[in-house]
Amino acid sequence: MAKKEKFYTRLTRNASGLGSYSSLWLAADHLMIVTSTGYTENYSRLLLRDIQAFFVVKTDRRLWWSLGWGALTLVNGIIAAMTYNNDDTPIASAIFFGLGLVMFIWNEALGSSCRVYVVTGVQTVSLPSLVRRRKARRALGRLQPLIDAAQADLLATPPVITAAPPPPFAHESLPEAVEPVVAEPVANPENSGAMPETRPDASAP
Amino acid sequence: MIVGPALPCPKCKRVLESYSWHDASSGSCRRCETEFEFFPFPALSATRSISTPQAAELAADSVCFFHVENRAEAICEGCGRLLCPVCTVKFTGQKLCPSCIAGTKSSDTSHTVRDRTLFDGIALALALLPLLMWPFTLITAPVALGFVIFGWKKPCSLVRGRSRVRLVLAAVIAVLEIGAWVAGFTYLALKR
Repeated sequence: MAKKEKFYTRLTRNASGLGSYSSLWLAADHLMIVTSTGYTENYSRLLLRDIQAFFVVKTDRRLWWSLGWGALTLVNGIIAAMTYNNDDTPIASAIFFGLGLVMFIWNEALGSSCRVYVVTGVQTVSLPSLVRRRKARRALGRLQPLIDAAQADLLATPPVITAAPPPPFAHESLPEAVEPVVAEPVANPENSGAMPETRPDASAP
Repeated sequence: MIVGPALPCPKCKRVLESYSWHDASSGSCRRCETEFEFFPFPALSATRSISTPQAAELAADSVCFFHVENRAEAICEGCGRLLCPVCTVKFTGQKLCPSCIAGTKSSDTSHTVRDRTLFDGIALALALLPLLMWPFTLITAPVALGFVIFGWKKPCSLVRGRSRVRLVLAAVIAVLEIGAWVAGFTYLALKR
């Protein structure tokens, strides 16, 4: 039996937040932000054709983590040195010193930090799983051709100038003609940044 | 002078002034002093054509299922109803009517689902975490087993797929815990 094709492919790994973690997934026509607590998952979808821009903002995340891990390394290094000078074996402080040093180097190796925002026609959404610039560039580099392809029709065609509506007397000459129902702008899902909302009561249209 | 789009600053939400832009791909908000890189796409500047419905002028014209006064211009790929541009919704690569989309939502398919409860995660947490304070397992082990049974046929994570490894693991641990309690109580009863 053929294996069922995956609908979503992972774009970024989980990035932890406060009590939850977030990741970015890619489908054929949309981007999905998955926020999980481990017990529930929330999905936010952004249609590729609705994405207007990305903002990449520099943050101090790397600096603060470096300061934290650096302080841990320094304090435990001093304690380990003092313990060693007193002819004792600094087991605990040496473990924490090593841990702090590894995390400090790891944090520096991840590169500068950033925050990425997606702009659509109706909202600006943060992508919490993209917090390092290198990773963000890689993800955006992967997304860019897909978004361009999804918006290819916009590239090719100039803004459509619609003909002016017929004057009122044109309708009067036709007894069967009725004023057409026009959708309100809010109800038009093509202009929204999210997937179209559906109204359970079908009586509206 | 570079004149960028009048978008809100992602950080302070105030509209970026024209002088906030260094060039077409970078700038800084003059109010919150946030430096940013900018990656625009055609959707930012392009105007999307919005088709407006046409009134049905002749009795022979096909009319929309939902709006009899509008001329039908599409067919719903879900139910085959004739639709006017107001009712035609391009959704997951198809042209659907609102009823079909509402039906899709209620059937909880991967295209529309907004959240999921991860019964496997709950069951595993209930089976594992109380081991730190083991007397609680007397209550949590049967509850975990209940979640395994309840969640066995429930839809699981959209992105992790339909693997039941966590449920099986939770069930095994919960059964072991229940078994340990039964053995303990039996031992105490026999000892008396």
